[in-house]
Amino acid sequence: MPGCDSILAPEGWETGVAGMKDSTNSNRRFGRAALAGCAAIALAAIPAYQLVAQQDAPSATDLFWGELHLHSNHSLDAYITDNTTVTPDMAYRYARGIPIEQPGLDRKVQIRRPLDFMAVTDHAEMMGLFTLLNRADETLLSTPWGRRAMAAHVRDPGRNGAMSVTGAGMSGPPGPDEAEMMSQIQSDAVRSAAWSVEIEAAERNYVPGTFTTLFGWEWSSVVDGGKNLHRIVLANTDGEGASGFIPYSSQDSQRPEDLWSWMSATRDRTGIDFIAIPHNSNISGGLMFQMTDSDGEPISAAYARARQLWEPLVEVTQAKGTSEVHPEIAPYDEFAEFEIRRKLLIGTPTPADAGDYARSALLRGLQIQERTGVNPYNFGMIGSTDSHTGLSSVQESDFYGKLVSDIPLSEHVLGPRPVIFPAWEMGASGRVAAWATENTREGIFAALRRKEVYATTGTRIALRMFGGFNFTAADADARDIAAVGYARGIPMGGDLTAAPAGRAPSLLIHAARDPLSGNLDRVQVVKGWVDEDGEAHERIYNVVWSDDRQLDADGNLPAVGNTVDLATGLYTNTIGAVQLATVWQDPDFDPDQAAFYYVRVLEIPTPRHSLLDAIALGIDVEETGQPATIQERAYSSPIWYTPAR
Amino acid sequence: MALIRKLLKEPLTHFVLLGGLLFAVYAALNPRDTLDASSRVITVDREALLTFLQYRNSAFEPGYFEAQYDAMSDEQLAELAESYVREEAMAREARALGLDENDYVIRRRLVQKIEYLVAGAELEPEPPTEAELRAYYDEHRDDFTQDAEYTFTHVFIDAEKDHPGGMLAEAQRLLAQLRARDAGFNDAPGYSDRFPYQRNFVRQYLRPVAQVFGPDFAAQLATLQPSDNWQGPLSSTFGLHLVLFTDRSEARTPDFEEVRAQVLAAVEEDRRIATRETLLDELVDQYDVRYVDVPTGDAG
Repeated sequence: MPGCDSILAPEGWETGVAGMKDSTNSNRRFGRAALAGCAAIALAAIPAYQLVAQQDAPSATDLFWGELHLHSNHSLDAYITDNTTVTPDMAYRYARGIPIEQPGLDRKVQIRRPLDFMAVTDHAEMMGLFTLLNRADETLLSTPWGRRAMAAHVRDPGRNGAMSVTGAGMSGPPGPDEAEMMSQIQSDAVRSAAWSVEIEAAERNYVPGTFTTLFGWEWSSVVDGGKNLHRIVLANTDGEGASGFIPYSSQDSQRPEDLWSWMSATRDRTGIDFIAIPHNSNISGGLMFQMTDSDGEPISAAYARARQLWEPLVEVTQAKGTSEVHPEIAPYDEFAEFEIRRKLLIGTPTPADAGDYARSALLRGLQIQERTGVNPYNFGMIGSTDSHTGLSSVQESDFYGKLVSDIPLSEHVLGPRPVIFPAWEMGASGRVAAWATENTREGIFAALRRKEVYATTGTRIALRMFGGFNFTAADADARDIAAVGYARGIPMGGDLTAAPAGRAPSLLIHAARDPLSGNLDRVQVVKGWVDEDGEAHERIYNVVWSDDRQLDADGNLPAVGNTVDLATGLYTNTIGAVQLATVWQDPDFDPDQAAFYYVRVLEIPTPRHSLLDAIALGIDVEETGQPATIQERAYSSPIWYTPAR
Repeated sequence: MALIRKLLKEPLTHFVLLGGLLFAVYAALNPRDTLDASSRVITVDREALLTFLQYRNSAFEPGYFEAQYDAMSDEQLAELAESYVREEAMAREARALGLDENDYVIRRRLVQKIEYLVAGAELEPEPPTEAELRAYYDEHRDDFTQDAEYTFTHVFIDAEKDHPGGMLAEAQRLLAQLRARDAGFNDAPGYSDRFPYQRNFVRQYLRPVAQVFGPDFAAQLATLQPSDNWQGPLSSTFGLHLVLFTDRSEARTPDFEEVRAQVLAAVEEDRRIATRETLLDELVDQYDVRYVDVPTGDAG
């Protein structure tokens, strides 16, 4: 049975256009040696049951809420920042609604609304090292370096013990001096021992139909002194399948191309499909969405095809900020200044760069498609927390921070301690919403693959978006939007082409507020396109809004207002709307120009956790250095229009 | 302290802690303010230097370091001995001067070592026996009670839409129509304004119902009796609702067998926490704690 926040969808409707790009170039060989392993990504090699995901697109889906980026005490950095206790199993149990003990505060905590699906995604690098030491794992202790690490761990069980022997352990492939050490403490046998704990936890907590666990980990590539290229990797398999491989780590390679080669080779060997989901592009120093590959060569069709196959999604909102757009890149966007992080992982300032943000990447994708015929950046959007506390926490009113050592008010509760990511700077975000046929591994993975998923900043806004050429204005009034959408269009994440003569595409959009959060302010469509000169353009349309406001001549809408009482932290839903629906037709459509459309839904302002903390502490919210209120939001996965050849 | 003792039995742990224990014995036998003549003796032998080498390298492998040691030139050995002597003298002097007292860094460091030992020790609590599981179930029967399950569908009258004559009049009109036509469970969509969430609720607890409709609606629903007739209107945060409330199962306590897995999980969770608490309690119990004008935690 679907979660209670699910929208009931109709049954028995046909669906629209197939979305996967053509595969005419699928047999082209990759030119350069570095990409040789990627040759196997040719679409022809994909098992049929995966290829046809779009053709088999469902005609009825329910809404499921999930978390696809969460760390337990199996992550090295989580353990040494005081999360010694929350195992992968406990992390799953918390997400299912079972109370567990919160590390640091030693109190039992329970999630307010259980999740429908989750992947615990610990760093592959040195995965589980400390828990293996704690239980004196025989595989590890059978090696000289393992014994050295153990001796240091017993001498100092904190961060200065084992890590003084093994090194930081998350900094890429070992140098020649470390090779012997790595071959022992990160031998296949040791990595399997750690991975098997993750597998067991995922298996134990999988309740098909109620709670889905996916197998995943984080590939933690950091290059050029702190530039973040991290990816979450997810596998579409069961426990037995998951035990057939060892998570690929940045110690194997720091290059995304090599990660894709591994995914490809492992899929060919095991039949298991994988996807990689980049996150924190906002702190990648411009490297996440470049116009070039890792060697600085212009992106080729082969690279683009590999990337679109292996990276169909991007995580655009999480604790360390949003990666949709930067106010300096889109100064005309009045909502761009939102949870922006301006520091790299190592704390150094990072300027706004088009290579860092999803919207500019979607535009670059269209430009690269113009040149090569393939769009490397046609990704959907999700949110997740990246919490290292083992607790998937997104509530402004009860936010547990990114690291245990950074929990809100830690100084007040636990005394002075090093704070790496001050909780007030972190966002209590995000969530991934999936329109899936059923809450099972197969159902959720298929929704991720076809990008029928979207991102929110933690709120549970329900958002439908369909594109097509056959909607009428009256469809916005339909009692069952999904029935109309699936019958006469394609859902979010899909592709349109071959516009009928003289017709522009329409989007059928329906947004409903989170029943436990603020009303809706407005729905916007963000359009990006490339003109005949190859120039990229973007435009934001306000398409439906609350409270009878009027657009001005430039299409701008007055602010919705703000009911938050700064003294009490209370707000009222006396402004905004419960649901907003519309059919929006592109007024500036040119059938010869490639374009994308995605939807952004904004809530009315509600109190941010920084305000609630300030009230609790009796200090001025300005002392937190963060805004008092926040307009929570949802970002749909885009729909693309590609001109017919 | 069984678990800590077990940990201490590990040869490696033993080896590493040995140095610390010797120091403790040493400190106990020697007055702090003045060092007697024998305490002024620093014996430099192969064993002392091997231990020193291993601490310095944060690596504990006697074989490897013996080979290193044996390969050292006299000059290198002399240099090593000098470093060792200097460190040993400084460390003894510092302790003799009481420099390790009132140092919160050292104190926290010691506490932290115990904390981590305890954190590591909790990983494998004793598996509960069948009898213990049943006993837990009997004692915590309430924890396993399943709330009543509700099955209903509803016709929604949207507060955000204009209805001629008002929302309530519209609700009365629709209610009469639904009853007159004997509308069934699956006919509701034909009458309803668009409800943004689920229409049918099948065997759902009241809590998620309250999360969608608000607590007032849930409270009203709880007072109704299941019936084949349309009832209402009930009010929610979104407007009014006519409900066809067809079934409510009573709250019940499942048999042990039915919830065995949950009982096991609960016992294991309890034991994980209890193991840690017990260790620390046992540790405190070794001390004679005297409260002076201070309320105690377990006054009862």
